[in-house]
Amino acid sequence: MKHLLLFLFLLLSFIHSKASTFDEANEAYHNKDFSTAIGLYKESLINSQSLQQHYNLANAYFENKDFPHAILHYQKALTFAPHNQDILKNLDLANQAINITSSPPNGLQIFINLLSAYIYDYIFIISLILATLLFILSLFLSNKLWIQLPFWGCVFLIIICIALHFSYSNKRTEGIVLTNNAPLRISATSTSPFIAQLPAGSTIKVINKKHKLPNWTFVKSAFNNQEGWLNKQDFSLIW
Amino acid sequence: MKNQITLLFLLIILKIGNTMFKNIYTPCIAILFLVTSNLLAAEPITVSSAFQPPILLLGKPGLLNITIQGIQGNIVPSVPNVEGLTFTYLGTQNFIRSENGKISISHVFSFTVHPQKIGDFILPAFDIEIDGKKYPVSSSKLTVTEKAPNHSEDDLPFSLDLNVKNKQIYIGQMVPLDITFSIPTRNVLMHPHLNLEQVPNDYFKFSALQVEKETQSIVNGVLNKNFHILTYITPIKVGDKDLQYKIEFVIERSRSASRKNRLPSSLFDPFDSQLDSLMSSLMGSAEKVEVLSPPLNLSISPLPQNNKPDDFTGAIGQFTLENFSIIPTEAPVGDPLSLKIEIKGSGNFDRISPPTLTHNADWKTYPPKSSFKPTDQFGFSGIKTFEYVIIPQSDLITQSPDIIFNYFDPDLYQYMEITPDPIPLKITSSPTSSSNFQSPNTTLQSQINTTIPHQAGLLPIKLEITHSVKSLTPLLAKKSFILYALLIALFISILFILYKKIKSKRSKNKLYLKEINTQRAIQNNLQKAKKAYAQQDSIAFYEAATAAISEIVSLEHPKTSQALTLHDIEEHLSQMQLSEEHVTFLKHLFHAADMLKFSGTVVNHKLTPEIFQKYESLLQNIEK
Repeated sequence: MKHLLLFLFLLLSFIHSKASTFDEANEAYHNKDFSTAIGLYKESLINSQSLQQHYNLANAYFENKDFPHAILHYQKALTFAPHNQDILKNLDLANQAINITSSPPNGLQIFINLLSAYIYDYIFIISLILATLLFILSLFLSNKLWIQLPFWGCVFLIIICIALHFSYSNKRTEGIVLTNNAPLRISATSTSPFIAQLPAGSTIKVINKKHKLPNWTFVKSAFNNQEGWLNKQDFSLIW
Repeated sequence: MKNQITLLFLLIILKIGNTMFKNIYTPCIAILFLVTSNLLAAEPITVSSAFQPPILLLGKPGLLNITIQGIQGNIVPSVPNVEGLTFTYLGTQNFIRSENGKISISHVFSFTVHPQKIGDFILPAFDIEIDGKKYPVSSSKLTVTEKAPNHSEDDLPFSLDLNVKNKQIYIGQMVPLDITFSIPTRNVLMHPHLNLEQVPNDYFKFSALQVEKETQSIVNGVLNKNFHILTYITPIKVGDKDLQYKIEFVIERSRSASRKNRLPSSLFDPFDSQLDSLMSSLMGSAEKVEVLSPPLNLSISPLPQNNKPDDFTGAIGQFTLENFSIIPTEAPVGDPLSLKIEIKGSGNFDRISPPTLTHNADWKTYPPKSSFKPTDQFGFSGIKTFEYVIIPQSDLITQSPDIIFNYFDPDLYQYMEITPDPIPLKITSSPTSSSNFQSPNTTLQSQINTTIPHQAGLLPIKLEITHSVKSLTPLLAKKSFILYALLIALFISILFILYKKIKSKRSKNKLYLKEINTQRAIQNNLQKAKKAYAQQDSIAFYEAATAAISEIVSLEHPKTSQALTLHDIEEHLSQMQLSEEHVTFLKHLFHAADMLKFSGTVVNHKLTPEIFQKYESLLQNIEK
């Protein structure tokens, strides 16, 4: 009992400290102290992440005229709610501020964005548990007709979720360029000639087929579709 | 690989489903097919052909790849005859790519190409038939050149050349420098280890290096790959100076080169280059090479003093006037106006000072703000904007102040001037000029703010956290999570399948069934006996007690428990060497049971604790 109370106390104090850091950050934001707000929002993100934290942090970056970081955190916030109009509108403003044009989503992306990735996580787990239970039940029951439909429904959902995995794996390789005119080089050295300079806020995709180096990543730029080596300090992955 | 594993799991799930519901297996495959075919369907169908490489040496084989994108081709296409070339079918490969959630499939038919003579060859456009439909294949070109002379491995024609338009340059001028690096294609260049840098030189300021294009050429019968690199140098000291660059890179020598010469492998390139790298690192054939460019002698001169303007901006290059404006054109005396001049061109934009405003005491001016919008990667071309805040001091002003932008044109070897036409203005006298006067910066700042829409439109922050997660990456994005989850589900399902199978097998074993039923009967009778003892019900006790003993004996006796007599039990138990006391008690039990059963009376009908203890002791001995 003692241990349980202690655990609950620690849990509550942790939740309170997280909420208070977030509230302090909001207060700093309202006082137009955006640098402090950015620091506090980042601190609140250490243990857990939410739409509101990323969205507010993006707003603080936006107000601080750091549009690439703002785009990065709006993109992170979109993971929780792909159709959130507030995020989409502010992201659009950030893109406009640095003349970045984003391509409209295709049919498959619209389908993927119907629900947030975390909802699909739950659907997958619940469908898998239900499908397993229904399968076990079917082993011991003579009348299986009433199990058939829900079982195959669950299997169908599992297949859909597994298909989504490929899209999410792809999304996992996407990043945002944070340094303006970041050089995309033909080889992974700072003295190598560059192929192009990428504007801050543009999207890149990490290509893992090539060599992996500690400070360099082989990427393909969505800005000009060119491939090359980008210094890891010049971009950040969305996920 | 992950795709195959996932598909394997899907098939296993379907197989399990098949064992359960045979009649629904086929519709489910159809659903799976529908899902996958939907993912694949969106891509347009294209067919193309390409020679790899596009330039071949006589006597060396090449590849012709016919790529079908978006549909699965089953029949090997027949390649039209080209005089001087022979085609041999090599094989096919399927590629499945997933990009931005869109899956694309391509089917590549490969043919080896053996050139028999030198020249340019065109594979004409032709049609191929897939599933009854005809698709056009684009034409492609192959150049066959003379066989390379035998070069020794130490005589590799790497080259690094520097080129400038004019060797006579000026201090502060931004000079484009073309660097061409050539390497034979037989040497696989290991890109992550390529360094190009200038030999230390304090006469120049150097810009970044950009690869403009990659080309191929044949030098002495050797197919070379050329990197055309562009950079800019700015001289900062006067005098004659040699400029040199050096390049360091790692190549793979002899073994892989000779292997690659046998058959240029574009189709299997990604795998081949990785394998090559691996083999090279294992066999130690990678070699670091440093190439130094021939020195490029440049003569750096100061700008000519003849006709040099007093207010020279320092601009060297070619420039034009892009825009000249003043806002507003009507204002009272004392109100700040914004004068903007935009200069477009190419040159040393980073060293240009603001042009001079020619005015009299009628204007009050402030130093301008400048901004630059480059149109290339180096800042050599673009538009430079100077924005002045000017305040009219008199209502006699009728036009904007004169502004002169001057620059030095190195091609024409003379100083040039750009003088925009003055803009007519209407300046009125201000009755309350002192009270209405605002700092020009404040006014302009508000003007700038209104031109930036995003500040006003930004939606406010959120005040409460509703849902949070530990990691931003969803679980479905992690293949390990999916694999483990499916494995656990599969493991649990297999456990239950095994449990059911074991149970089913046992249910068909008669001996096992008899044992189970007897065990149950023993337990049942023992419970009855205990209950009867507690209730002092002698009839029930003796009946249950003897029945339990009969059941125990029947486990190892061919007769059933009902058919066993006291004699059978005594005979069976005699082998166990029971004590005399236990045998006597056993007889007593059965006699008492029979008496109760047949006459309804018993000699000593009272159930004492002693009787129950003896019964328990007897049971323990029998069970042993």
